[in-house]
Amino acid sequence: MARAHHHAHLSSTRRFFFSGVAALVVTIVISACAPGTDTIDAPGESASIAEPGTAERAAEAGIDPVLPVSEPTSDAVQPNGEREQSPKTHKAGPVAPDDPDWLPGHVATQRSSVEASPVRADFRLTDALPESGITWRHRTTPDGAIAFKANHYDHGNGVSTADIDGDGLQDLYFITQIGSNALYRNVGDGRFEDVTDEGLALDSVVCVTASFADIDNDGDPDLYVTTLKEGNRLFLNDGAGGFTDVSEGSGVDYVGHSSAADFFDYDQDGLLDLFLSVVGVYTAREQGPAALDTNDVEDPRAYSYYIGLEDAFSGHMYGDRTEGSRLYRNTGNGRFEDVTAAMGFADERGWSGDAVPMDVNRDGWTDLYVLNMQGNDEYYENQQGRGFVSRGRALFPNTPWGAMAALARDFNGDGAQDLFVMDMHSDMQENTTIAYDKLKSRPLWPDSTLLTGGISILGNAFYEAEEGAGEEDVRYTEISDANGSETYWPWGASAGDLNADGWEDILVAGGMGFTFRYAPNSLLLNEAGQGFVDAEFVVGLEPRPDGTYFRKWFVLDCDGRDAQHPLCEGQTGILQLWEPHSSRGSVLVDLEGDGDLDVVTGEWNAPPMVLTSDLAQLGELNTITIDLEGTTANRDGLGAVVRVVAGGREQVRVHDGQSGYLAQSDQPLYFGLGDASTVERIEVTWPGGGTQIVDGPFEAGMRVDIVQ
Amino acid sequence: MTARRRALRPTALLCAAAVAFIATACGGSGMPEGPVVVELTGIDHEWYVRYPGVDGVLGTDDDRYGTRDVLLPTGAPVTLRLDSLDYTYFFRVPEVGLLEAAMPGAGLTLALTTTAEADLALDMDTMCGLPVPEVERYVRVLSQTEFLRRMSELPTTDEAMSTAAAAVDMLEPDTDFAQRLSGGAP
Repeated sequence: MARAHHHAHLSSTRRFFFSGVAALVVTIVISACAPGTDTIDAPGESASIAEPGTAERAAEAGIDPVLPVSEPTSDAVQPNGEREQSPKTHKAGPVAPDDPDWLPGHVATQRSSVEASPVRADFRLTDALPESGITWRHRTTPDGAIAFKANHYDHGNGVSTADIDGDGLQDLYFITQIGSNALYRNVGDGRFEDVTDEGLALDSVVCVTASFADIDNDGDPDLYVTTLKEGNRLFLNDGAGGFTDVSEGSGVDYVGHSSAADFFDYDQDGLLDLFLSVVGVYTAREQGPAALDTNDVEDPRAYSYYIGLEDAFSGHMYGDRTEGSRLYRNTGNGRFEDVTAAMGFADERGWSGDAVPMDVNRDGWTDLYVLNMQGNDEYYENQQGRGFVSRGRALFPNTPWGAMAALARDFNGDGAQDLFVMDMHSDMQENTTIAYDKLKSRPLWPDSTLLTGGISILGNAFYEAEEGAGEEDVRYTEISDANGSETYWPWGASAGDLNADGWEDILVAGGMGFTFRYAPNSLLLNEAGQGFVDAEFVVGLEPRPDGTYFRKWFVLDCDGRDAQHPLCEGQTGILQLWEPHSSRGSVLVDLEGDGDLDVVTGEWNAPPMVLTSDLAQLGELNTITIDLEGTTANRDGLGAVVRVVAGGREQVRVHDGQSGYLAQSDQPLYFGLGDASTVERIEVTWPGGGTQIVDGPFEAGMRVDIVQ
Repeated sequence: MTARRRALRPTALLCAAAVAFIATACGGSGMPEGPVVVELTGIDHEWYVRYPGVDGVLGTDDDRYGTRDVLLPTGAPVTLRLDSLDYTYFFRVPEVGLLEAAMPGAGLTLALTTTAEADLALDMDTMCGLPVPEVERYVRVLSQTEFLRRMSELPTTDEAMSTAAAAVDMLEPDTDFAQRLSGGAP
């Protein structure tokens, strides 16, 4: 496929030759050298040097190790073989040789696997977007479209949920890069109304993430939105779903390359503090025009955005592009103080998209597992609210190189929080077929670019917690290949008991769109703690509701203002580009109040998917929801450990508000009970200490409100 | 075809003329002492290669310039200096497991010793997997005699400069890229 940076080519070529002539030596700053000497022999004599283990791994998986070559653009290709009746020329990119010819075989294999599994998979997810009333769509910057640039803009955005008006129904807030964010109020039966006001729309701002949390302990979810260099925004909720921007003077209106915001109470003073993950400098100072509708050739391109750096994914190799993540302490009255340095994060190096508040060492204080999307993750141990200490590789000696999101849950039912980390960036190394989706990436990049000393995991990591001998002794063992949790091109994951069998399942939003092949979202159904089975094509998460794999991406006016675009070379008229569908995140939430979990996705450059489950309509459904209200603890009860005993089994859940991708949500804890129709006992250990036991029985279907 | 694309054509013609001239005018000499230092610079998904000329020293008027393929002599220690003016590129020779990055300002090097003549496929890709046209590239390990002959055929600094200047004259000024490369604090 043609590229969009020929201007860079010629300019740089000129620099290359001129620099050689001017000084006869091109200035080279040797800051690092690859030690050692390799020997080049004739072909066939040194085969063992190349990527050890790849062929063996592929052979074990029954895969031909020869990778496909992505075909360049082909004219007039459209999804489903349809041809638009217009004079436009159409190009779809990329058209990989296995797209979508792999589908029938892949679906058949997956169906067989699910049928052979004891897991319940008889429910169906059905498209409910048309009747939901949601008409909003995500829109990306030109860097994610017409500029054809690989930049952190392509990380997209997520979606958050909270009951903003206290009516017992979960509402939705979508954010976007270009155009308006949208707040949709749930009016019941899975229908929504747009209640976005000008403040929440943030129409002229490129937004990144949204987090709901009750920061002033008044019983309603407030909202924090991070933006790209336009100042992060804090909105206080009036209890009826009205939001007031109180950013100025709040202390959390950081201006930079912000990413996710995680609220948790690190010092157990009853006020939710904030850890702000920061990526690093991936944009320039200059701004450029952006189209609201990239598929409208007449769009005036009246929006603006900061132009992304061409080499943004090399940013971690340049110290001057570092922006460290921030820790803010909640001082009350909507005010926060920056305690980044005072609490031990002065050396935090950024390139973080998210973090997970989690009591890693089980001492009763919430620690932080900070993700690094271009390097080693870091575990910061909470020193009982007095600060954090980086424990380096102590508990997690090997971490994913390109970590994008993570979840802490007790997936195997042993009472300890496991940690599941999604690695997206490692999948950038090559455009593989779907046959490789359950394998780690091949190590095709040298450590001079990874900069992690060869210890990185090039794929997802699933750290299974094991209790050691001591009360606070815990070990984590990485088992992602063994338990089936490796996925291709993952962004964010959501956990929820979609089949209400008492074991939390995982939805991993996936796919790049852009210039890579179609990659399905993954649904990992939990096999009673023994592992996961992929079921996205069985339950209706895949394929997309309209059965397509591509969508319209952008148009170029090759006779007019886009004539100089490289894709217009040799082209006249209107050129329509297509890209594969891709998702970024999701929330698992009961939209209709019927007792089962539904799915709302955050899509890349497209409307969300709203998929409702029919589980509640299939027969007896045993679930219970628990809403916490802290008093001396923070009102949301974030950090509380909840144990539910039903049918002789105990389920343990930590209330952390983590949901999906680039988002924090506020919703009751949801427990599937399997065959148990009553809950015998609920035990809550509140942050700051104190265990509260609430004896049942509680009938399935109840919502239990527990006040500290 | 864009104006910038058109600008490449004279460049190619002048390069061809220069190569023809050098091939008839220059002769070979013995291999220099010490490692052969070759500099590769990645620019818009292509390698631009600078060799020491027949004087064996990189950084003189006698330097030679090539693109795409990398020529190396047999039986010699070689140091490859890897640089880039835009993206991070990977210099990969899968057949023998060579792998290193070229990124702006990093100045990474690869040290190796050639032992036998060979044509080895050379991959060039970026960290972000941008699709680019498939181009066959090779590391060609040549006999020392052939290596020196090929060096004598490549354009010198002056010749490369003149062809580049001819192309540059036809270009629109473009400072945007340099500005963006420089990045910026928020």
